[in-house]
Amino acid sequence: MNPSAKFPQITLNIKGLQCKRGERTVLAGLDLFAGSGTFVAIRGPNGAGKSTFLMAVAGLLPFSGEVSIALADWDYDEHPLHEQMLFVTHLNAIKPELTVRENLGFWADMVDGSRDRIGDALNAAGIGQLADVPAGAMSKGQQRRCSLARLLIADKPIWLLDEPTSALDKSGDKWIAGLISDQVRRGGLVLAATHRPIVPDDDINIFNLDLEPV
Amino acid sequence: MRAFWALLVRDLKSASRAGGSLTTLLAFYLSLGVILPIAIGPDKPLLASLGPALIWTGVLLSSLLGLDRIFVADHEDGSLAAFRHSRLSLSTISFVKLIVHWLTTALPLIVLTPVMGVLLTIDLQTLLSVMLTLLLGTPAIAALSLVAAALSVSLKRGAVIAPILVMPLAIPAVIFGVGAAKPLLGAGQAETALLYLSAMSLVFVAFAPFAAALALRLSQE
Repeated sequence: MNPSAKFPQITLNIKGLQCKRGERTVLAGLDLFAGSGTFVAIRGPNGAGKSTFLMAVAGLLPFSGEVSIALADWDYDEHPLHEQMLFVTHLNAIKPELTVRENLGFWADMVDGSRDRIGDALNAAGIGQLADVPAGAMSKGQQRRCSLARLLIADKPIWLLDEPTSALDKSGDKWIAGLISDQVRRGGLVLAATHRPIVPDDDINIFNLDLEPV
Repeated sequence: MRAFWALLVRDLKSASRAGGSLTTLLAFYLSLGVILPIAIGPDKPLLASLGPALIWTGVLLSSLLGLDRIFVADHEDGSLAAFRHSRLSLSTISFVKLIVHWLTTALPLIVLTPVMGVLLTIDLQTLLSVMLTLLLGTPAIAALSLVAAALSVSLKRGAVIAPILVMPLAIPAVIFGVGAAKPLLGAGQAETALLYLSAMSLVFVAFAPFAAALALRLSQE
């Protein structure tokens, strides 16, 4: 797929989402309807359930209620739905002993991305000159950039981002805001849990989901 | 297939660069070979007759040292969560982990076993049959380790608990492994033990990835 092609029509429909972590109820009856071309900013204080919400949508947690994700005219047998999501958690999922290029090459293979785009992705992330450095030798912010560069090596219509800008500097914040804007313009769906506000371009459809501790 | 090889290559590269743990493993194995003869005393025939049992116990204990490497790193750095949206199912991922664990733990121990043979004064014939039983039996132990590692991945002291889970389950493999390597077994008995050992490895390796995947899914909740 070429990087500027539009994504298929996406619908995300959440009804009465309830989620427990251990014995504690973290989300109690949450509704959300969002579709293609939307940036859902999940906001709220610590412990409000932002990460839990993302994990439930990602299918990593058991929940009650309904979460349905659909892509229009999609061949789910050929391209399973779970592979259409890219979830960047608060952890970076990169191996310190492997080089930046090896880490991204590995993830390109794992999510059916393209190794050819690694160079461009690293340049965009601002760590192009560090491609052959072991990831463990980079700073926290640079490691975060490396992890986020995974977004650029594959075309996944749905992005789930947990505090994407943590450890990033001002230029990193701007880069992420630009990435999200581009993804939304292509008809993608971005759900991001954020502490520090991410300010995407003006023409982007933003939905603020404010969570409160239960 | 692309993702399968990518994971296999990444894990082998990662294991070879991280270093240290393989050396620890082999040093532990060899120090058992040094301590046991000292503890048992200068009775050469006794030592030689105990040889297969000592080697099997040594391999079992040493391989448990490598157990926490199977899933812990991927769990802690978030790779395990990211795998959930990848091309590979958790059971395929577990299968790759099993292969990597065997290649980086059991295989080096088997390669080092001739040195143990010298330390324990075992004759060549017995040594070769022990190495054969290890080759056929260690996949079963690796499979058990895989499941134990998956069950304990999110526990703080998982590296301590997992070996205790593996040991009782490994008893049949040890019985048949040592039995098949005994030099004075009647005709046909050694072959039967070998067949049982191989069957055990095949069955465990076939089922372990699915059990491990289930355990991983539960542990991430």
